[in-house]
Amino acid sequence: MHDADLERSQFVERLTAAQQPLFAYISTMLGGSSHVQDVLQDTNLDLWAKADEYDPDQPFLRWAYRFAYYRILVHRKAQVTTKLVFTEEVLSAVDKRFRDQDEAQNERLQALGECLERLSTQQRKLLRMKYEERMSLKSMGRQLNTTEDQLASRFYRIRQGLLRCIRFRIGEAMG
Amino acid sequence: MQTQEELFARIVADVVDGVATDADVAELNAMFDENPQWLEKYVDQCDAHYLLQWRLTPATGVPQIESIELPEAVVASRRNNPLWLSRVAAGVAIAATAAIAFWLGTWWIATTKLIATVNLIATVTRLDDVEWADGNQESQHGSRLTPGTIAASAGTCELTLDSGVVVACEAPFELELVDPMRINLVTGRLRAKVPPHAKGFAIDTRDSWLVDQGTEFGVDASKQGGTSVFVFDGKVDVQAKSHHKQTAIRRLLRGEALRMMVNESSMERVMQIVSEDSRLGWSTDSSDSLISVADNIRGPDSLKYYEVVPRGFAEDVMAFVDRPYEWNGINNRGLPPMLRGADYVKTFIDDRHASTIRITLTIMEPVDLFVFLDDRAAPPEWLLRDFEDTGEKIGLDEKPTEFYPGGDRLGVGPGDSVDQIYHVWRRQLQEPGMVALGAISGSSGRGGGRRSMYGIAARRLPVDASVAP
Repeated sequence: MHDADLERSQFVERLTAAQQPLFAYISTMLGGSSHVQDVLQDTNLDLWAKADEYDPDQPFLRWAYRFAYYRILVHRKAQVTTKLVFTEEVLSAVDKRFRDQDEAQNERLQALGECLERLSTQQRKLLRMKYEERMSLKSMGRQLNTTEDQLASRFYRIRQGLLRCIRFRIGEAMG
Repeated sequence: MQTQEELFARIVADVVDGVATDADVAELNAMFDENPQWLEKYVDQCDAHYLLQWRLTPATGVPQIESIELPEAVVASRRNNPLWLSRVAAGVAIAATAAIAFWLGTWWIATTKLIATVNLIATVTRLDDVEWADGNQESQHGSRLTPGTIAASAGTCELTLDSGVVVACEAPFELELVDPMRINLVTGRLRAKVPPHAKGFAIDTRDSWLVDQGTEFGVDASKQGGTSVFVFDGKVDVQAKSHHKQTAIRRLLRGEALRMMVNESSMERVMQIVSEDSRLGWSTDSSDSLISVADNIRGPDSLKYYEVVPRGFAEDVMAFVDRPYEWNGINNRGLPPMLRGADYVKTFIDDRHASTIRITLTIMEPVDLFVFLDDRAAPPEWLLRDFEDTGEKIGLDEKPTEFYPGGDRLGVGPGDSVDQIYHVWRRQLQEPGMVALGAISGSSGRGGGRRSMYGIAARRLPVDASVAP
């Protein structure tokens, strides 16, 4: 394969692999806005346009977050007069958190799989209902005879526990 | 009254579900302002949520670049460098569309866009020491895959198709991803777990068509020809391919298996599989186990297979191939030490009434051979003759099923929810060889005809005990 062709191939692969982290990055900053896909699409466009400027020896995600951050600021500016949005201080703090863990995605995903196996049957059932069967808290509440607030608190604690477990495992793996 | 943490948990739930209101965002801004730890917790929650979505909801959770719209300007700037398109063309289809908009009844605005479509259909969700074969898709954990060949010479990997089907493959294997609902397995072993909404998922091999009907199953496509299919849960429709004739579709249920050969246009019984401590969890290679098992009552048309579990006897292990029942210690002392870690055979509970059954065990090394007999059945003649009652007992924990409502629930650990008591019988075999076990039907015990099938286990003799005097 020609060098330039190989580079393009690697770029496509990295852009593809970056979609989920970019989606999480933008969603977190937009606080669940329905415009996440639009901002992601704009970010992808920018990344395609600047593909030649990407240095394959550099971490792709950190480079891509720059473009996403810019697109988020543009979006925020357009929204700020009509809708409540996070302050720039919040966005900056979120950006820093994502950059700090940008290249550990694969290890984190693998650790998540191991941590899921340690959950109780009931916790796994809740996750299956929400993430695999895509049930809303409302319908889960009806089926499990509990309130949405109680379910929200349970998911909050499950996520908290999983993240602690992931960090422990990553830390363990790093020695 | 709702605590601040409960309020925060509720807002986070709204945010990740995409239904947060302005009031939610205002509340979050105020909390972040009041104490930066809330911001840390917010990012933690989002972080964990999107990881979970990535892992568990591949069909919708992973955003895809299946329709990146490239403006004319971007495309034009690339036209002088055709190389960028050559890779794109490999997995990316380029289409030109004209979008025409009507504006205020007076203006026609026409723009032309190029739409690049990357057809991504699966995600690599686990890799264990994989060495990819040359010339195929090389992927990392989390990589998204396009249709095409994927092959490895070592290791195991797990792919999650966008249909929700999870496929674990063990090298060496070669398969072609056709679309999220179809795989061509050229060679190798895999285990597929198909969620209910992906019913109809199909695997094509040289010898057979397999169409899932909501299940978990294993497939072994041999390089030399021949495909074996094992159903671990649910059901699968299989059809042998034939050069000469139309073959019938067979439906396999839990605990059933078939081997198909295209050259012979045949389907034949698979007598046993061996459980493995691996991602796939099964193998047809019995060289790692002390026992090999066969019986006399099923001809080649039978679909039932025994399962041998090397070193697997422990609390809460499955007892039978055809029921979700478990072996357990009868009290908190647990299973008798002599049985822990033994090789064991999952038999068929339905054979409890087979009056002419003869199970033949091939024993590979000197062993203590154990038979577990339901307390409700009287010991049959062959057991009294060849085995001794050790005085030890173990329990069977039964789970009610649609057709067999016995038991209450599956307990966890020893002494929890034990439904039946089994006596442990032993026979010491100083030499490798063959042993025949008979039926329990016909023997009259206190159960008035109600009893379960016996269990079988073997434990290697210590070296000094295996030396003949």
